Amino acid sequence: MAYRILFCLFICGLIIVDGMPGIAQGAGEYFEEETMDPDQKIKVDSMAMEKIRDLSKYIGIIGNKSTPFSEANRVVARALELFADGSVIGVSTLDKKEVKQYEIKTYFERLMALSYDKVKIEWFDIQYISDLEQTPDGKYVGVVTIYQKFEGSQNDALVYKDVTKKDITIYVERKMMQVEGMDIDFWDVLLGDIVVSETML
Amino acid sequence: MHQPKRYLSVYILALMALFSCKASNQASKTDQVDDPDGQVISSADVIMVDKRLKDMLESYFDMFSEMDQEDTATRDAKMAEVFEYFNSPDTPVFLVLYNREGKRYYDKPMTITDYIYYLNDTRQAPHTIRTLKLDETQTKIMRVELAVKQ
Repeated sequence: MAYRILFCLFICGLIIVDGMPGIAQGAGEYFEEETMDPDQKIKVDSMAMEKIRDLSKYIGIIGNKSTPFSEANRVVARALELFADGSVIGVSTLDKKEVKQYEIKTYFERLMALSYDKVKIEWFDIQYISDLEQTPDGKYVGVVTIYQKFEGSQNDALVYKDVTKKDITIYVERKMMQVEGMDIDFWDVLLGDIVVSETML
Repeated sequence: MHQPKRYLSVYILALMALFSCKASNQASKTDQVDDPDGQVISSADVIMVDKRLKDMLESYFDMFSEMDQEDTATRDAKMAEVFEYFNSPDTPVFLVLYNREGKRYYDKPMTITDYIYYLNDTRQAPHTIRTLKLDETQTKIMRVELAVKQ
């Protein structure tokens, strides 16, 4: 009798474990579903936002004419790591209606080569316009909007300035890597296309 | 006749209860990693943070975040100075985002070199050291674990 009770308890236990939310079974291994509770999502949201702020600082350094060439190249490499492959950025000016699209690397190279004596780029009012939402493939996607203030000077005189509103797509994905034999579970944030939505003085 | 079977059942139940208590105890130990000061670490292979080493490294981190970005010579010299404390310039740095059921979830890992550049490029030092893993000689840092400052 006792054996029967124990056997039933054992089977019930198996059913409960198998049916637990957040755990999926596959190929003999258990994979945790890539979902976050609200507190965890706040932390990942905030980390993703921090990457955007990092990018704004990298752009400031790359565009700054006082930055040594080797340093600018190092920062370009760093900034490129933030982007998903094939991402493009829109570039606009006040005098042209057309918005040109550049690959991110080309954009940074052009930024380094701008023909101003002094370039000042600042991003402000950085905020989510579309919260990170989980897609069917398990990734999270969101959109952040930023305002970019650009000032180009020559011979100490301001010759061009504009403010551009840009939307940046963010992809967040849970990944695993081994470092020194240790499994590291991490959230990878990658930026996608940057689209110009408005250009103003 | 059924007496031995009954004893066996009680024995199995007792074992299950013991295992359950042990698992619960283990979970509460793992929770110690949540200690905000980063001083109490119960992970098997992480050595408790040496307060002096932690303070010294954090003051270096602050210094890099405030350093003139155009003075790369001074920055590089200071980086070489800091690397003396590390196993290599590629020593991994992990930023803990949160714990869930005793498991830690991180930002994308980077090297100490990249981390110092990050501090200098972004002009901020927003993290605190939670753990430092030292090598067998207890002289070189093999791994750094950070958390966002509260």
